[in-house]
Amino acid sequence: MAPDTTADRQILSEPSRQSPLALVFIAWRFFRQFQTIGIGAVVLLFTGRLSGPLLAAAIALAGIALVFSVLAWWRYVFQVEGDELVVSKGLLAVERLSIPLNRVQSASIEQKFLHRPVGLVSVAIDTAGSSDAEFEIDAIPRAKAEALQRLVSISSQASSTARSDGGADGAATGGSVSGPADSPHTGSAAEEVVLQRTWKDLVRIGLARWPWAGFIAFVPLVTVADDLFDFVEVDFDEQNLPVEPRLEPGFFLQVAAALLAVTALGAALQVGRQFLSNWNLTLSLTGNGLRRTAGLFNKTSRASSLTRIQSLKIHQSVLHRLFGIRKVQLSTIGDGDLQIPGSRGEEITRLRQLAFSSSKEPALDRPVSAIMILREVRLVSLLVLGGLVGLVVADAPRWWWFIVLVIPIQTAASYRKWRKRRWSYSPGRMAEFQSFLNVDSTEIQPFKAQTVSIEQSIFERRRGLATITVRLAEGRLSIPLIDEREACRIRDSILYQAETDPRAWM
Amino acid sequence: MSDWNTSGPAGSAAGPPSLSDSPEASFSNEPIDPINLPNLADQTFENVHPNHLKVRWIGDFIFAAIVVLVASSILTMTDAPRWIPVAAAGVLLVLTALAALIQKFEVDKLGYLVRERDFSYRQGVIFTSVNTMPYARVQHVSIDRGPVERMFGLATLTMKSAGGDVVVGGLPPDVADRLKALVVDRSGASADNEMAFGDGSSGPADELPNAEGVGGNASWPAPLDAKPVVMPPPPARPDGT
Repeated sequence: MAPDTTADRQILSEPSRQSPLALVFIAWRFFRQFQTIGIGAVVLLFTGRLSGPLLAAAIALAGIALVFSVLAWWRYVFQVEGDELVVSKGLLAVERLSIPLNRVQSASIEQKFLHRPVGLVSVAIDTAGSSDAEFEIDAIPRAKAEALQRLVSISSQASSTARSDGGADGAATGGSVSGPADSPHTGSAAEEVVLQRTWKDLVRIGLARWPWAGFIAFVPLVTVADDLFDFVEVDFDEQNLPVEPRLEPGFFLQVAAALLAVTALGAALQVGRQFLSNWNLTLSLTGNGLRRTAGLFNKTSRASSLTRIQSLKIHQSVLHRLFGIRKVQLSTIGDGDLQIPGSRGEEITRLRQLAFSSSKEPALDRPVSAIMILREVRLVSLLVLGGLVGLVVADAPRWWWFIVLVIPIQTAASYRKWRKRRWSYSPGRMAEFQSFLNVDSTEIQPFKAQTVSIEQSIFERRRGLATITVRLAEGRLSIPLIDEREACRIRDSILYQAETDPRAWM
Repeated sequence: MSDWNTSGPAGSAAGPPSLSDSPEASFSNEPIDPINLPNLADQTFENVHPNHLKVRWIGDFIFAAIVVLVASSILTMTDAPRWIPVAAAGVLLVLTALAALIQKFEVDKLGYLVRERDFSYRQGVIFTSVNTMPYARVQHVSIDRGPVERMFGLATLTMKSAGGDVVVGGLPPDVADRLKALVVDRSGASADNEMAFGDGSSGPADELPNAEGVGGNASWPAPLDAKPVVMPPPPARPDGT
């Protein structure tokens, strides 16, 4: 029996605006577009250098941002008309979107830090065929958001009962909905927790990230470093800076201690970041698919039906190897890739089972042609030779002869890169594996292919080799340097799967 | 080829089973021999119209003219020696000639192949590629005719999927129209097929759109056959062409 949706429709039947709190989010998005200029302007303002025309321009820009935000909020009206979600928005030209509820792929509810005190939430509506969420309603009462979520859920379930899901994928079809972990879910089956991250896992994940990478966030500050030093009154005596450091043992100790301190700070920042973004990370299996919830202050919730999962990617860096963990990414159509950091073997098997209805690992036993090693080494050798000739002509210092060391380094790198590359193909699974410093693998189901192409460079053509590329609705898988006839056979088999498999690809 | 088709061989005089047949009777699940899958590499591709080369040459010429215009206006504003514009013009001439020559080889190589279930497009001279899109994955088909293409009586067909596009230039308008009709028909039919049966079977063929307009005697779902299909007659065009 179809659930009664009258009450939900009643709530959403009147055209309504977002809560005025949305102004903050709209203004923040506007500000984010001019991030670097903004940071620079704030620093200049505090150092007292923002004056005259610059100050006028900054005030004008802030004024425009305010007017823009108010207008954008005022013009943003949404309602449910019949079986369509109708949104009208736009400042000068009014854009009216009518989206059939059964076409909505996901309605994700998120409660940001600012939302909490006032009990509001934001809803991201994602439809098929778009790479981003179609639009986001920044701040609405939870009751309205959940009514919308229920309508989407019921409509998509009604349409997906008519759609093939191939039996084995029966756990989830059609659209999906999601919301904050603590919100009640009506209209969906009981959730089963697939995996969860404790604080110990998050420490491990944070430590397995490159500690220095955390400082990248501060790079924009370099552009205003001079003003910043003025602001915090750090005074370099530029006249008396030592020309060359005194290379005493104490100096090396100091450098080592400084590096260690920076590394420790970076690692701490990375762990902190994990705590903020992945606190209580939970992946659960719902009636509609997979839902990932996480976050300490800003709770995020991403969901996807199982059929929308296009590929499974596994990444393991050198540091990941130390901790015996890997990062898994389930790529889904549209806005909502599910990132599962800190995964272990048995979890990956479970995720594979969910994504592909089979926990069997791909064989990954076929090598690609090693001819590329020769090509890369030859190219680098020629460059080094050219460089040496240049050095002789220019009468450069002797120690420049060390550049010949590039050749054995390149040889070792090329050897490792191409000799370790693996792939495998079976009608149920296509996969590739690369290992250099990091280890990366991608797995797809061939029947979900959108297009298949065989590509050849002159280099490949002369050696009877080819590259096969399978494009999916999200991402692609490419295997270079395989036998041309084999590539053609695989192409024919993939086309056969895509053209005859009755399972839904999204 | 193994007969995996649920509705009998193409052009069968008995026709497809009726709706009253039980699903079990119309369902077959014969093993497929992977060696005998239709081989795309064995097929002959159709070349695009030779006039497409002229369209490309005109495009190259317009690009070169813009470069000359911009470069000469920059040079007149500076006190460059007189040999510089002459040398630049010479280099540009050589590059344009080279581009024109590559375009010649490129257009000779361009080709498309229409099969019953997919569309392939071959292109490239230095980097070659054959890109294939099953009709079942086509989301949107369109025909574009720019002013230069109209001058030479050509059209461009664009097929979009959720993961990549196929763009075929240099088609006579009637061929483009027929291809578009074919792709719309086949992709729509595939979508209907997916929607109609949730049990994994293809279902009774007579519930699906009649494919007579496509192949004359083809049943649906058509067998995965390598032979190119006969395209439907072109729909009437508003301009009478």
